[in-house]
Amino acid sequence: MAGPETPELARAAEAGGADMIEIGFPFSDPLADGPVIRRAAERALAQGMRTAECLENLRAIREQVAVPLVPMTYASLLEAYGWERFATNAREAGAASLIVADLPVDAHPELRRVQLVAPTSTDERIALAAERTDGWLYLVTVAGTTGARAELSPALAPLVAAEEGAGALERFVAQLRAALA
Amino acid sequence: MLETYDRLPDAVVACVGGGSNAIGLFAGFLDDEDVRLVGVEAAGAASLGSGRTAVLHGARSSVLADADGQILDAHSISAGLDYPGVGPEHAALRDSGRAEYVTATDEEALAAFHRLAETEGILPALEPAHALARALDLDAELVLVGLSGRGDKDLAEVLDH
Repeated sequence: MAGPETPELARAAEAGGADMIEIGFPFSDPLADGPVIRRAAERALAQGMRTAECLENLRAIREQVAVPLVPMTYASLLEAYGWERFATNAREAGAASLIVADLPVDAHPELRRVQLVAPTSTDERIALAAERTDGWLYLVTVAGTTGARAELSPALAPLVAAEEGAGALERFVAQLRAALA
Repeated sequence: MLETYDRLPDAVVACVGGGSNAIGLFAGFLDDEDVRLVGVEAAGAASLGSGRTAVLHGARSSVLADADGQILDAHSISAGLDYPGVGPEHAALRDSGRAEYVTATDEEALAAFHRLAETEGILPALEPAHALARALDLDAELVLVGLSGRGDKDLAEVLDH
């Protein structure tokens, strides 16, 4: 989550081996997120991390780490800020791509972003997401919110197979498959 | 209405929280241009009256939100109206002018509850009590008010005031 401590955390993550860092831009109603990320968002909002502050934070992080940075947020922030303006300013601040958790694949096709697929996605939707996605696909592995769970979802393996069938042979997916084997 | 009055109402009034009961009622009259459609929101949760375009719970609609798109807190004495968003169909009806949206305060809803109870012996839920409050203002001969629920559930709240 973007915030005063995030640049330091980003440096630590990179030093620890992260290939890429997702930076949350907090939203008041993060439907897709479980208690940990929700609390982080509440804290960030209480610290005043609105869109402009998050972009500044991104800029600061960009100066301190070399790995790709991907802001993750919800559609309402872009609707208020301006879709094109957000895309432009985020990239200019150092974003390699974007994740917008509640934006369906067919909305705003001009906005280059990482698309999400879920166990509830049809093959048709997976194919469309794979076609439109920027770089890699975000696999939502449970019909639920983010958060630690004791076991991997049984939906994961078939979902990975579906993406491969759709032609989305992204390095991420391939690595994940190898790890599960 | 047609069976009982042999004509359509001059106005149809419904309370609007998320908008489901209201859109259900309005749907039957959308093409009847002489029928006024009036939605009544809670004054503290006026998504259509005081909101802006935002995205909440999967819908891009009129929402109580700040300039950054962060959602604001709504308030209403009635749980069903206490919601910062509203179904996008209502936003479209507002923008096209086909429906008009007004508000009623907690106090006005409570007063309307008492009035209906005393005059008709019906306990309305506090949500449609908002619709009743504004229905009385209308300069219309025949008004259809959607009583979206009973007030048994709200007795404790009403007696508290």
